[in-house]
Amino acid sequence: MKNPIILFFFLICSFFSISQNVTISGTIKDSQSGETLIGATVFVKELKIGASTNVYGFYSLTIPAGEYTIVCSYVGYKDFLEQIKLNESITLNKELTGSDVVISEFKVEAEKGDKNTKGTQMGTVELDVEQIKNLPAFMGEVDVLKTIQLLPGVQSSGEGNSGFYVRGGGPDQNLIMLDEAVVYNAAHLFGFFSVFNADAIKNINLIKAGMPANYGGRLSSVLDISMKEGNDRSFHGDGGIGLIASRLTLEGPIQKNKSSFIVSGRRTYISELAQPFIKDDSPIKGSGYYFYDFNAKLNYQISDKDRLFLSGYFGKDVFTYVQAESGFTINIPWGNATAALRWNHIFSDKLFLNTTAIYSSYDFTFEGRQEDFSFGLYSGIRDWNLKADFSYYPNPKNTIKFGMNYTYHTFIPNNVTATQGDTEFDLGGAVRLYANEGAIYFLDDIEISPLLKLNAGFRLSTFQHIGPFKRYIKDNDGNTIEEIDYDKFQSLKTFVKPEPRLTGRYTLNETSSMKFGATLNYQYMHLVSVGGNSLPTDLWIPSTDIVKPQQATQLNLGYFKNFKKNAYEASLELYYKDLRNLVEFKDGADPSDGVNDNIDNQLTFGKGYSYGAEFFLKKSLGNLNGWIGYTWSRTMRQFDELNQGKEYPAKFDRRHDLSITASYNLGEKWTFGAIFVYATGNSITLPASKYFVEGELLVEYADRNSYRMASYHRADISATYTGKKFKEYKDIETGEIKKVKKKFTSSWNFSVFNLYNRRNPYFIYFDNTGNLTQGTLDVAAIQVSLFPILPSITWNFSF
Amino acid sequence: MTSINKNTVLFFLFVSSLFLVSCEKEIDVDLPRPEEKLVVEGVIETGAFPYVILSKSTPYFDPTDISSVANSYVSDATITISDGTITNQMTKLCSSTLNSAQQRQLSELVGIPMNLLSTYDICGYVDLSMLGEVGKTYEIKISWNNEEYVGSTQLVNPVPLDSVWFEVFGDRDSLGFLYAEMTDPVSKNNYYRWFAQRINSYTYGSLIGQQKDNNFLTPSSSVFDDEFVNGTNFEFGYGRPVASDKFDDQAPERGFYKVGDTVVVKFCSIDQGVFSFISVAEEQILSTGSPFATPVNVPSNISNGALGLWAGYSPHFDTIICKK
Repeated sequence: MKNPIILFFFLICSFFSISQNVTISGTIKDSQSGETLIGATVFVKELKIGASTNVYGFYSLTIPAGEYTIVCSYVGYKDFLEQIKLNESITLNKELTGSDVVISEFKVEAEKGDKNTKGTQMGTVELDVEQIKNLPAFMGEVDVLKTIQLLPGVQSSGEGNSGFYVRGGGPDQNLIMLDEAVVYNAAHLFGFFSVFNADAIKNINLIKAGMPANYGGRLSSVLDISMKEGNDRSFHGDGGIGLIASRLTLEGPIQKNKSSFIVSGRRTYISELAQPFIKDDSPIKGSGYYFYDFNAKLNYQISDKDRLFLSGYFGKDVFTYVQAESGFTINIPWGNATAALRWNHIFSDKLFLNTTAIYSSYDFTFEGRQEDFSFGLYSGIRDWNLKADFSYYPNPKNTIKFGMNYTYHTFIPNNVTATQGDTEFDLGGAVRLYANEGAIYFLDDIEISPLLKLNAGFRLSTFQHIGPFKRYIKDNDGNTIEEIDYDKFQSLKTFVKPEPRLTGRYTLNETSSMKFGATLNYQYMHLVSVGGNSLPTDLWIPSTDIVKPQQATQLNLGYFKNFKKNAYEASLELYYKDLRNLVEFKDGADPSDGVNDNIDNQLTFGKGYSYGAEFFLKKSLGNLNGWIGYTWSRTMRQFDELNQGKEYPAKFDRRHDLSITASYNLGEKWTFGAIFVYATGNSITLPASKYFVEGELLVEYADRNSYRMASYHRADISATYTGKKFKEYKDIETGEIKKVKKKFTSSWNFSVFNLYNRRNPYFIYFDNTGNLTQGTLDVAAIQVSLFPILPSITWNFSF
Repeated sequence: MTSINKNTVLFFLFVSSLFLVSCEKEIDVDLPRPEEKLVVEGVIETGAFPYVILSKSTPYFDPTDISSVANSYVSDATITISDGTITNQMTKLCSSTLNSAQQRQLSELVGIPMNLLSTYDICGYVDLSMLGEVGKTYEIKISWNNEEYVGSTQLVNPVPLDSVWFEVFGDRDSLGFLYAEMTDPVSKNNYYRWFAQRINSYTYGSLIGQQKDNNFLTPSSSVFDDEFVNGTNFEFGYGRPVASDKFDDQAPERGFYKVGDTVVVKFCSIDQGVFSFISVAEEQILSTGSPFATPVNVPSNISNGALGLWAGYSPHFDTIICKK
C-alpha cells in the first residue's frame, strides 16, 4: 500500500505537467551602463499578465506554453517588444535603451505608470533620482532626505535637526538602509545634508505604511536606498563644484560586461575658504566645520547565476569651535561607516536568493578642552549583520518572499572621560551593551482575484540582551542596593515578538483603487534625546531587561486615482497608529552621569498615538510636473512620569504640513524648479512663572510642549542651464545631419534657498538681563533662526 | 569637583557658536495665565535662629519693577516651627521696624535688595528662641489662604575639612583658588555646600576700606554629593563666587582670590532635599539660553505644591589667609 502522501504528491506533480507551464526569467539592464533596472516590467500582451524586476533586476514569470508578445518596459526607456514561442522555460535577459529626451515621451502601456493604483504596496513612494535633480537644491546639493520630506506624511524635523518623522513616529523609527546596510545617522550637520550622494544612487524606495514582512526593526518607515552598480560597459564620471561642497563620482568596468566599480566622494570646504577672510580677533577665528563622504562599490558577475557585490560607505563630520581668548576649544567628530558583501544566486528560474554580510558602525564624540582640563563624551554602535532573502515566483498570482536576518549589536551609549593636567578622573570607563537580534519572515504577494490583491506576511522577531553586563539596581533615592554581574553571552532578557503584516488593494475601476493595511511592528533600539532638540548627541540605547521593545500597530486606508491616462496621480490616505513602550529620559536625567549606574535606569516609558489624513496629487508627464502634498495629523504622547502623567503633544506634532514642488522644462536647455513648504510650528515647553530664591530668578515650566512656535514656511527656487547634449555632424555618404550624444556634458544650477528670507524659528530661549537689586531686571523671549536667504551656484558635469 | 555640571556648560558654549550663522529677535509670547504658587525661602543653621520668607510666584512676563516685586511678598501667613519636641509659632519681623544698618545686614543675608527693604514694608518670619542644634529635624507648617504647607529639614552631622589652602593659579602672580582636602564618611548619602566670605578690606581701588564680602557667597555650582568619593579622602577646589558688578568682579580678578585675602570658608553638610533643590536650581540658572537644557522644574522640599526651599545648614568653619 503506497503511502497516501506520496500518492497525493504524485497527483499534484502530474497535474502540473499536464498544464505545461513554462517560466521565463532573467535580468533587465540598461544597455548603456549595464545597470540592472529595478521595477522594470515584463508583460505578456495576450495574457495581460506580467512581472516586475526585483531590487537586483531579476524577474520571473510562469505562464502556460504558447506564442506571445513580450513587452519589456521601464519609465524613461524605450519599450522592447519581442514575439516568442514558448514551449519550455527559458532565460530571457534584456537590455533597454534610455530615451535621451529629458522628459520621456508619453506612452500608454498597461503596467507603466499605474503603480499608484495597481500596486498593493500602499504608502510606498519610489523616487526618481533624475527628478530630484531638477528640484531646487539646498546650497546646490541635491538631497535625498530633503526630497522625501516634501512628501505627505514625511516631515522634516526642522532646520537644525537631523532626522525626519513619518506619520507621527520619532526619528529613530525609520529604517534607513544603503545597499542593505543600516545607517544610524543619515544626516550631516544638523540635517542640512544627508549622507547620500545623489550621483551614486540608483533607486530610492520609501515605505511609510504597511511595511511588508521582509522589513523590520523600526516602527514607522523604511527608506531603502540602492547604489548604482557601476557602468560595466564604459568609463564615466559625474560631479559638481559648488560654493559649499564638491563631489565626484567615477564608474567603469573592470572587466567589460563582467565586473565594474563605482566610487563617489564629496567634501565641503566653505570653512577652509572662509578662514583667510576672518579677522584674527573675530570670535569665530579657528572654528570651522566640514564633512566628507565616500562611497565605493565593486560588482562582479561570477556566472549567469551568481553575482557578487562589495559596497562601502564612510562619512565623517567634524565641527570645531575655538575661543582663543579663553583657551577653550570644542571638537565634535561624528560619522557612519558601513561595508556590505552581497551575493545574488539564482537557484532556478523561480527561486532567487540574496545573501548579505554587513558591518555597520556609528560614532559620535564630543570633546571640550579648557587650558589643562578636558572632557569627552563618546557614544557609538557596532553591528555585525547576516541576512538571507529568498524570492520565489511560483506563478503569476503569487510572489513569495522568505528569509532570515541576524545582527550582533554592540552599543556604547555614553562613555565619559575627563582629565585635568595629568590626573585622569575615574568615571568608570566605557560601558558596553550587547545584544543579539534576529528575525525570520514569510510573505506572499497574492492576487486573490482580478480585483483583489493582498500582501500577507508574518515576521517573527527576537531580541536578546546579553552580557558581559553589570546591572545596578537602584532604590528611589538613586542609591545602589544591588549589583549583578552577567558573563559574556549570558542572557539577561529575551524578547520574541510576532509581527503580522497585511496590506491589500481592491480595484474599483480602470483608474482607481482602494488600498488598506494593518500591521504590527516592534523596535528594539531607541534613540533618546538629551535636550529638546534632536542632535548627533542623541543616544542609541538597546532594549534591555528594563527597556521593553517599542511597539506600533498601524491601520491605513487609502483611495488612489489616476487621471488623464496616468499623467496625474492622486491619493487620499488615512492612518491611525498606536504606539507603546516609548522611551524618554526622566526629568533631570544627565546622560553623562552614567558612572556606577546603567543609562537605562534614567529612562521612563510611555505611550502615544497618531492619526492623520494625507492628500497627494502628482503630475509626472509633460513640461510642467511636480506634486502637492498636504497632511493633517495629530500626534500625542502620554508618560506617567512626565508632565504629571497628562497627555501632551509630541515635539513634532504638526497639525498642517504642506509641500508644493514644481519643475518646468523650457526647451532643451533650461529647467526651472520651485518648492514651497508650510508647516505648523514645533511644540516646545516654555516657562510659565518665575520666582526668587537667594536673589536668583528661577522658573516653573508650563505643561510639556504646550506652546507652539511660529509656523515654518519657506520657498526655494532654482534654475538649471544644461549645455548641449548632442553634437551634430554631417554624414559624408548621405549628406544627412546626424546627432550623436556628446561625451562630456555640463550644466549650471542656480538656487536660492529661503527666497523671501523668512526667519523661521529654530528654538526659543529666555534671557534675563539686568539686576533685581537695581530693579532693572528684564525677562525676554528670544527666537533664534538659522538660515536667511542663501543663494548658491553649482557647476555639474558628466562624462 | 563640579564635573556633572560641566556637561551643561559645554553644551551651552557649543550652542553659542551656532549664533555665528543665526540671528535672534525678541518675540512676543502669549502664555496662558499660570496658577499663583507660594514660594518658601527658609534657613536654619547650627547655633542660629531660623527665618522664613514667603513670596508668590508671578507670571513669567509680568513686570519686575520694584513695586511688583514688593507686592509678591507674603506677610499674611502663620508659620509654626517644631524641633521634634517644642513647637513655636514664628513671629513676624518687618523691615519698617529695622534701622538702616539692620536693613543692610538683612539685605546681605537674605538677598532682598536694600531699596526694597527701606521703601516697602517687607516681612519675614523668625523664631528668636529656637537655635539650630545638630542632629535635630526641624519642621515648619505654613498656613496661608486656607492651605497648609509642610517642610522638613535636618541639621546633619557636620563633616569637617581636613585642610584648606590657597594656591596661585598657573603663572599668575597673586591670583588663585581655594582648595580643600576632606575625608567623606563611609556612610552613603552625604551632601555638601560650599560658602566663602572674604572678611578683609580693600586696600586699593574705589572701595578702599570696605570689607570685601559682606556675607557668605556661593559659587555657581556650590553643592556636591559623595557618589564618586564615598568613604575616600580627596581634594577639590573652588573659584571665588562672582556676585556683583564691583571692580574685582571684572577681569582680571574675576573669580580669583588674591594673596592677602582672609577667607572664611563655611563648609556645610546638608540633607538630600536641600541638595536636590540647589543642584537643580543651579543647573537651571547655568543653562539659561541653551537649547540642550531639558526644561526641569526645581524640586521643592515643601509639600502641597509650594515652591522653594526650607534648608538646614550644618557648618564647619575654616579661616585661611591667602599666601603665596
